[in-house]
Amino acid sequence: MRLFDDLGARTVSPRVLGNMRALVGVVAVAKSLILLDLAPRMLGPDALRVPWIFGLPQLDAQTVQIALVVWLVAAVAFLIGWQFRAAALLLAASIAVVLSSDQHFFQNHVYLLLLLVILLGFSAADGALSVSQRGGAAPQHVPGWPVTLIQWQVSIVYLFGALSKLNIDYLSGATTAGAWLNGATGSWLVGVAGSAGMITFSVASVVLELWLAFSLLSQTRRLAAIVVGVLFHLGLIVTIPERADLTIFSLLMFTAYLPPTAPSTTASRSAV
Amino acid sequence: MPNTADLTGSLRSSPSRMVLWAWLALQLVVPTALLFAPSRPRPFGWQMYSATRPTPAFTLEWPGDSTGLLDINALLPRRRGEIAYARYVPPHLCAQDSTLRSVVVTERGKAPSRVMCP
Repeated sequence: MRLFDDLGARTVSPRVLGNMRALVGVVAVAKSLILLDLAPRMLGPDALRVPWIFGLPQLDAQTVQIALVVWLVAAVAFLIGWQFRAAALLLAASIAVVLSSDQHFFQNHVYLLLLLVILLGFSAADGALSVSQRGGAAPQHVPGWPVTLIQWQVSIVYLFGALSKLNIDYLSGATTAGAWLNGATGSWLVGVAGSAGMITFSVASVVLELWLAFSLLSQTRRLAAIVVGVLFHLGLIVTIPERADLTIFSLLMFTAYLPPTAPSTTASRSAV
Repeated sequence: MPNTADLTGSLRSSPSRMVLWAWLALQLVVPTALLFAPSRPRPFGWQMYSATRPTPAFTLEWPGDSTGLLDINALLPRRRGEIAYARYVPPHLCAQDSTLRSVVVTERGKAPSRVMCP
């Protein structure tokens, strides 16, 4: 099976992994700053804290805030490639601590960030665009399995994003209208589109996400998928008012757009 | 074929294919199972914007028939569709206000339920 071969045999240029590390690092820094700003209100004495298991004691506010500071410092080190493996380990651990401290900290893009940090942390992502690489002889090829897994991961996100929308509530246009009505552009679109238009938008978004899930893994459709995917994410950012979160989510998804080839192609065995 | 001298140390070489397949399998099995959960969205299921789960209304009741409607936005800096607030909000309100007698929870499509404070 081609994927089976690809997971073990693919090699990539360190620059591919370096670009992915830099993008994920920027997002990790930005997200930590957003959460550090939000944390006092989420963790204050009057705030509702929601444990993952009902009745289980929770981490105190100070511990969570320390974890957020560790997250920020580790994210900067991860971004510049300094002490990369330790930085990746600390970053993943601090994200996990924050996520596990309260259900309010769960967001799909934070979970995706954690997965990407883990995958990149086991790779040679500090082999290029990294302070630890200065003056050293850079390898020409490094194992490409993290790139393959990240490309599959992003397609899995699109796939289940589409499959979970196959319900009456979403396909009726009500969910999309509810999200759009919170912002000016979206409200205008809801007014122009009407109920028939909202049903069309909703069905189209499901088809689009399904198409992206498979086309990003296809060598022949990959370029078209990247163009369509970027436009799709821009559409999300424009129409839904949760712009900072959606920008962060989009940038993380774009991590899989960076490699020049799709996984499971003969050409990708030594892709640059 | 790549020159093996190009490859970095053992930690950065390919791990067992079993580990990689296990990762992929986990990433497919968990969201697949969550597609069949009784409500959406669920965490870890990649169910972004897939459904709306309206936040319940909470009516506060004090001794002497005094009542008030909770402004949930004042309580939550960030509301999440994945969280079943009907379960978590009443104990929190009771703990915050020792004079509170009970909280009535009204969810769409369900009969109102009264949670008595201890």
